[in-house]
Amino acid sequence: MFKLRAAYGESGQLPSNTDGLPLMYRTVAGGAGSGIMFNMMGNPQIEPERIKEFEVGIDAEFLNMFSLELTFYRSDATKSIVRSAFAPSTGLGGYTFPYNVGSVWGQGLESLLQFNPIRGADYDLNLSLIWNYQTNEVRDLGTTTQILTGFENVIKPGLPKYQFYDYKVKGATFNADGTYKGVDATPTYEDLGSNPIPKHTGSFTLNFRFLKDFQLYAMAEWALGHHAWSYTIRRAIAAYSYMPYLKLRQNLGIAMPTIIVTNKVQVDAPTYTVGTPEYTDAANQYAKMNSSYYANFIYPADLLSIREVSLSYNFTDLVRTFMPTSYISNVQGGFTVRNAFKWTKFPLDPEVNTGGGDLSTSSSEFATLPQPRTYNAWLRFTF
Amino acid sequence: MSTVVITSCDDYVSNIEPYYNMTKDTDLNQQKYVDGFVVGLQDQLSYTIDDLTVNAGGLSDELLFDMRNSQATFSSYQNTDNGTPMDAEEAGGMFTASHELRQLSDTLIYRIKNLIAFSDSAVYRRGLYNADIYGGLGKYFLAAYFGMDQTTGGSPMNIGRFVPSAQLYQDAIAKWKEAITLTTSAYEKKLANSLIARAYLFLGDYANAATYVQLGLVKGDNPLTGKYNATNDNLWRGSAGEVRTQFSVDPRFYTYLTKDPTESARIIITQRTGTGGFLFYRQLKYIMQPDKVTVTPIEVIDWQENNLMKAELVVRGAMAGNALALINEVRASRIDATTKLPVSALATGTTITLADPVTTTSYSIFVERDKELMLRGNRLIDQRRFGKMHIAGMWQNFPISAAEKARNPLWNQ
Repeated sequence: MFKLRAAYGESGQLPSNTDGLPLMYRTVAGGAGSGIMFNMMGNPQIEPERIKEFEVGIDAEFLNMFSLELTFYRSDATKSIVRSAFAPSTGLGGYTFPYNVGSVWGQGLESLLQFNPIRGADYDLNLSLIWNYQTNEVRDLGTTTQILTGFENVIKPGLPKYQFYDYKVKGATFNADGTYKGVDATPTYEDLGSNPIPKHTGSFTLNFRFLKDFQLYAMAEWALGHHAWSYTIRRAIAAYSYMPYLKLRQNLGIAMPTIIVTNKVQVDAPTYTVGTPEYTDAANQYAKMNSSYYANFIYPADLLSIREVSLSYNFTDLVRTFMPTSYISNVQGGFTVRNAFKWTKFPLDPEVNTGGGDLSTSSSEFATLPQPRTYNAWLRFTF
Repeated sequence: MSTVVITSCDDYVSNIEPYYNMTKDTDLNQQKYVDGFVVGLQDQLSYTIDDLTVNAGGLSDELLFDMRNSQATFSSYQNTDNGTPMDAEEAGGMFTASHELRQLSDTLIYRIKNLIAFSDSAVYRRGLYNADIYGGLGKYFLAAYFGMDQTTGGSPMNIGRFVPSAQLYQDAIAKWKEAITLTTSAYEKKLANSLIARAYLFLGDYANAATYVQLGLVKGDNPLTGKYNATNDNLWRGSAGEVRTQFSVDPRFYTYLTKDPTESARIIITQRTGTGGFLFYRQLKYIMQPDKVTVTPIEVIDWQENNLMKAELVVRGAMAGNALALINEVRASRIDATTKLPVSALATGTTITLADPVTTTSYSIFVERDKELMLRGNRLIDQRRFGKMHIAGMWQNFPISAAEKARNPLWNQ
């Protein structure tokens, strides 16, 4: 079977129910009493977003064991609704304002390959592979040059949506005698060349029934080509609780903070001679751990996770054999491991983030516990 | 086989009624709402000044951030204490709040002058007076606490160019001078005069400061304060006080107390022990009151500060007067809640200097202001103008916020 698909659609996102309102006031019960203050700033000119999307794809089955779905899409969003704060000097910096941004272009490829090489009464093997790719670019913001959104992100023509954007740390500066002086950073926010949205996402699923009543299930997921921001490491450094940072201080001969001395924390690292390549390298690394520069804590967040491995057995035939009059219609038992393994370039777990654990939205994590590996033995009865 | 499916929908709700808990700007153009706007200004002052004074205390030598106090963990406060405040967390909130105070004032002035039909001229004048007082404070805060670099004070205005502190002080003074013309209340005139005198003092215009300080608040006058309660707490409690002590009070305040126990009437601190026996001092000036509802307000200005300005101007030779008597009047007004004793008077014949070291026979304005005005945001300004910054080459004000820099290309021009 071979099927060629094509579709064109237009859709969009409506403004929220208050986006079209003008400047609104409210009564606030403050320390001085109930006073009238700003509440929110909408945009009476706000319009619905319009997305035009064209996709073309194929569905194919071949060799009686493969099925393949491929879809290429191209979307052009105009008048996307994005909220951004005013400059504080307007007096309205505490409020966000909905904009229609000019144009965002995106395209991607979605694929699904299924392989069913074994089919029988006692054995059945299904393999499934999903691989998706996306890219996008902001093309036009009308009269606006850039919109800062989220924590460290920008919407700016020529860049993908939500690109990380901040002061970029280039390395260290040095005093005349060669000792470490401080951080050499760009004077303005810059494109940091990284983005929180993965370029590639996908999953692989194995579903194998064997010896008629055994079932092995495994599922892996991955996300590639994105970065995430670690507030945890920044805080650890700021609180002098990150050993690589303390070792660099030791390398540079910078006095340990009082709290480290008081607590007699052992920092085993050599002190380098000023002016040596080792010293210079350590100084540059030290500058790139300066907690005042958020860009220092953006790391690659590529991820491969064995999400679940499960082995189960169906006892139904046994029940029917030995308890033919039983009301039990189905019995299964098994053992499941969730979050079995995880490999990532990120120093911590990129799936824990301030917006909740989600591969597609990971952009910042802060002091939340990683998803635990759990083991479950289970027995399920159906009556 | 081919299939074509066409569906369409192109309709959306384009207009809704406002929520019951908020009101359109245009619906408020009525005389009856003016007093509500004034209370809004007072509330915005409260939201602004606690953040400003805590952080100004941290940037000055008034407060201390030391991780041997286990409640001190915020890196933003650490940066501030080190004299290296960044332009994001450290400065963002209070910079935005100061501008909002100014903007609320400007909006109210425009509304009163152009959009409301008044039947009661007293409401008209009351509204404008308060808008000028609080709008002036917004500009004063921007002049006193922010800057484009370590030493160049000021702020951009309305996504425009950078306005230096000197001009912002003058703008604030102009507003307060206008306020004086709008009220017949002797107290309100004195309050405005004290604010004007302080701005001139900080500008180094001692002649004008002397003129206005003599028309300012006097003993018995109420202070202008930022007010708080259980649901609108004073940041001092949560960042440098009884709820959490990220910033502790510099140990010299404890030394002041040991040298003169009667200073407990105005230096209200308690000793705490941190890691390794580290002793630090928690302020208990700003606390939840026994009624569990009200929280100690922050003095924006009071007659005691006016007296100390007079004393300083006397020492500077800008006006006639008795600096020692002015200081002793202030000290006598501070009564310890437990001992019922005032702060001891300086001995007759004590020489009052601007900032010389204190001896058995001389005493300085700089030290008296340190004690009397502690935890009110004045120390940072005093360190600057007396040339006594405790960390050389570091920030003497807070940077323009990153949010402003990213949105205003003129912020440093």
